[in-house]
Amino acid sequence: MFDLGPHQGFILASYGVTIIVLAAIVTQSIARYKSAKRRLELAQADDADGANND
Amino acid sequence: MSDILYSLANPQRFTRFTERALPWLTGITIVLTLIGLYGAWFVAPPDYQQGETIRIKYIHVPAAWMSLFGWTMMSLSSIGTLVFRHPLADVAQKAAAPVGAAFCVICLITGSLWGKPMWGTWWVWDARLTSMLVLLLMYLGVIALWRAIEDQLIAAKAVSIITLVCAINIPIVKFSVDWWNTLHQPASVLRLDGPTIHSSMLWPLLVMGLAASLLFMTLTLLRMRTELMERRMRRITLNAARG
Repeated sequence: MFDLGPHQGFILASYGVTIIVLAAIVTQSIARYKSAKRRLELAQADDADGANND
Repeated sequence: MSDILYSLANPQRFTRFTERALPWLTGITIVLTLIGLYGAWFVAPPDYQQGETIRIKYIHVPAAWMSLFGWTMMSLSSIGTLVFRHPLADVAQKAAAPVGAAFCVICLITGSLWGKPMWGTWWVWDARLTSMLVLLLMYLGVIALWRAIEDQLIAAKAVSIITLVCAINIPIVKFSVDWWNTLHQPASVLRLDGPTIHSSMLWPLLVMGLAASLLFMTLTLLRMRTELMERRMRRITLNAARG
């Protein structure tokens, strides 16, 4: 598709590394958000149960 | 501007704001990235000296900008924490550090991959490269400090002081190519006398820079929201433990 010349490996590796690092930080951010949301909902439900039992 | 900052100081209002803003920011970031990549690969010509390796510039330079922007933003947030005691300032600081570190890693690795074919070496201990490596170590240091101190208020103060002291490295990174003889080329975009590169190369670079800025903002806002939820959860757990 492209003729990237003799340094093709360096160019593709640069874009590959960028994709991997960005995918890692995006995935970690979303996973942490979902985990925090789930745990907060559980904690709020427990808290409400505790208040009702009192 | 200060009215907006103070209106968002309420965590619930901030959460509502991010709920509306994040889908838009994500969409605009994806569109700008696609436009920037199109310009970088299909519009911008090869460089007369560096040939096709110039394509690395479209990810390396925005990553470098975001590395510097991240620490600058954290420094401003540190002032917000120490001076104005803005309730979201330390949350922003904590959220931005891993994002800034990620861009710093990209900058260093892509720089090395660009340096090998152009300079004949993966790494030299010159002022620009060394100060950039120091910036990565600074990011890793504050991330470690956030994790090491359990009391988030004490951690916020310690991290703020360290962030402000280490901010001295930001102008050193930026002007290292002017102050010392380095292998790294001097600035060609952010210059007082204007950019020195052709418009066919400049606009894709600026679009990629804008896309990187929006990605930075999107991830930081998402991580801030996460941090607020985790703090709220800790408060609920502590209150439950106290009975």
